[in-house]
Amino acid sequence: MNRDEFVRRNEPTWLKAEELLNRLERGLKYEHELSELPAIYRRCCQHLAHARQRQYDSPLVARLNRIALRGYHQLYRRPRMTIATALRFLAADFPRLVRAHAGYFWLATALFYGPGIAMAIAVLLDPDAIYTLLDADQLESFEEMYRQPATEERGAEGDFAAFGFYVFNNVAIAFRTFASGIFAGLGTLFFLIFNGLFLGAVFAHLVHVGVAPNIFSFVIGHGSLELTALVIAGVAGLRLGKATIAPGRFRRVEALRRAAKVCVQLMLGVAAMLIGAAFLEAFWSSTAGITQTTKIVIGSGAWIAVAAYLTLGGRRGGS
Amino acid sequence: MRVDTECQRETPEGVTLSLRPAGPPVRLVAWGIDAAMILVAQTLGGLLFGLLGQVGTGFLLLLAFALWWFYPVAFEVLRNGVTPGKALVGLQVVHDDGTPVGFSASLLRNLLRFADFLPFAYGAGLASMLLSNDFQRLGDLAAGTLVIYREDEIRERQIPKAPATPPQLPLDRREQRAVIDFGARYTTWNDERRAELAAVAAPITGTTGEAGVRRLLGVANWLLARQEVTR
Repeated sequence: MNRDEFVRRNEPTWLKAEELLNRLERGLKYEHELSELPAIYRRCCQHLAHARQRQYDSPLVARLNRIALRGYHQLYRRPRMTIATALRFLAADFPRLVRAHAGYFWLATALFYGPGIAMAIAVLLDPDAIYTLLDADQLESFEEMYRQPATEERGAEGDFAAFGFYVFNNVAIAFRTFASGIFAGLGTLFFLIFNGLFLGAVFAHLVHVGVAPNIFSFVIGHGSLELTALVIAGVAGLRLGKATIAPGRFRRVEALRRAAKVCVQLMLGVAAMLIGAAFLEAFWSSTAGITQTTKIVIGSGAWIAVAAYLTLGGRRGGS
Repeated sequence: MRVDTECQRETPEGVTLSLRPAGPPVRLVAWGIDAAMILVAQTLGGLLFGLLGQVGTGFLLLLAFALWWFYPVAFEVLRNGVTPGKALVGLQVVHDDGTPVGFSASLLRNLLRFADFLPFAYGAGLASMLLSNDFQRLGDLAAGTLVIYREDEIRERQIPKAPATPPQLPLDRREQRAVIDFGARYTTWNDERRAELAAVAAPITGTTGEAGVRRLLGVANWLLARQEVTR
């Protein structure tokens, strides 16, 4: 069979394949077409192999290659995430994954809270120490925020604006903490330590100014989710960094890929936790109708709940 | 040795597919288009939500968050690895085995975009693309993805007929293929370019210039005809 004969005989199959693929790629899926595709795809693969073997011209080979590639894309998809798997992930897989990284978790915790506590003590001992991190204007705005106990004046609309801001700001901080871990973990170190220092300083300053009950009652409610999520983002970043520094028995790229696969799951959990935290922060922590005592009691309960979630979640049902 | 950017992936059917990874310039263009679209969407959102007061502010911030972090993820997962910017320049994101990019890989490569952007203007990403084999930025390396050209040039061209001439030297398969490709792409060049290319093949044709071009076409025809005979 010569080239032209080859084309003449098989062109209908290719046209059929191209038409089918066009429709599938535009999302039109019908049962009978789906069942036709594998056979047509395999025949085109065979034609591609023939065309290559017989050294047919490049455009022909390219056309067949393209059909095979598109068919391959349609046939070899990876399973999509469904709502059921997402819920299962949050209920069981995510806490398990965090527990599997207990070492990283405590390291990230130490890197975040350690500098934070140290900075807080420094500011309590010497209130001027805060100016190493923040300038007077920033401090002014923080003091302004917490001078009064949470009041009614913001209303539901303001709450929603705050929610938007917390998602925009806090989730991005967690994402950056994770992503910059790829540079041998250094970026993650920086973000964990810097955020720890910053929060410690602001806390201590507000205590020094004498608005401690306002800030504690505000922060304790969502802090459990928010701060823990940031630490877990640190876990993911450090894991990524570890893969680049000490790949073990894999090539560095391979080690990175394996670590990243796990890290992306951690980050999904982190994002979910932070969105929950933003919700609490906007609609609960700043509500005026709840007394500070109630907020502190419930907020402490939230810390216990988060701890219980991460330590006990997914323990039942084996594996 | 690799002389082009093409990389091969074998499918379960035992056929190798060729993928052509895209380099930094074209990807920069795609990114520019996407960034422009995000800015436009954000501006439109700002105008719309500006009417809604504080609730609008909340929506706008959520929109900005979603756009900057998840716009590429949404398109890559739902549109087969193609964001609008990539669509316009003919690019596509795939797993490095050639399968369509999935949610977790897409999320990963777009989260790590932040790292690629450092220290400024995609410095790390560019360095990574130039050092890796298949133009992968850090996010691609971690997620195991490639950005490839979507459309190969697939227009078929007839090889102009010429009296079949055997080559003066025996040709191996790659050389045969090159001569046939010369025939197939013949019509896309002007006469000077044809002569220039045919001059490279002077050992095969024994002549150069106009005559060399015609002889080389003849060899292409001869090779094709011989294929026809041997099958």
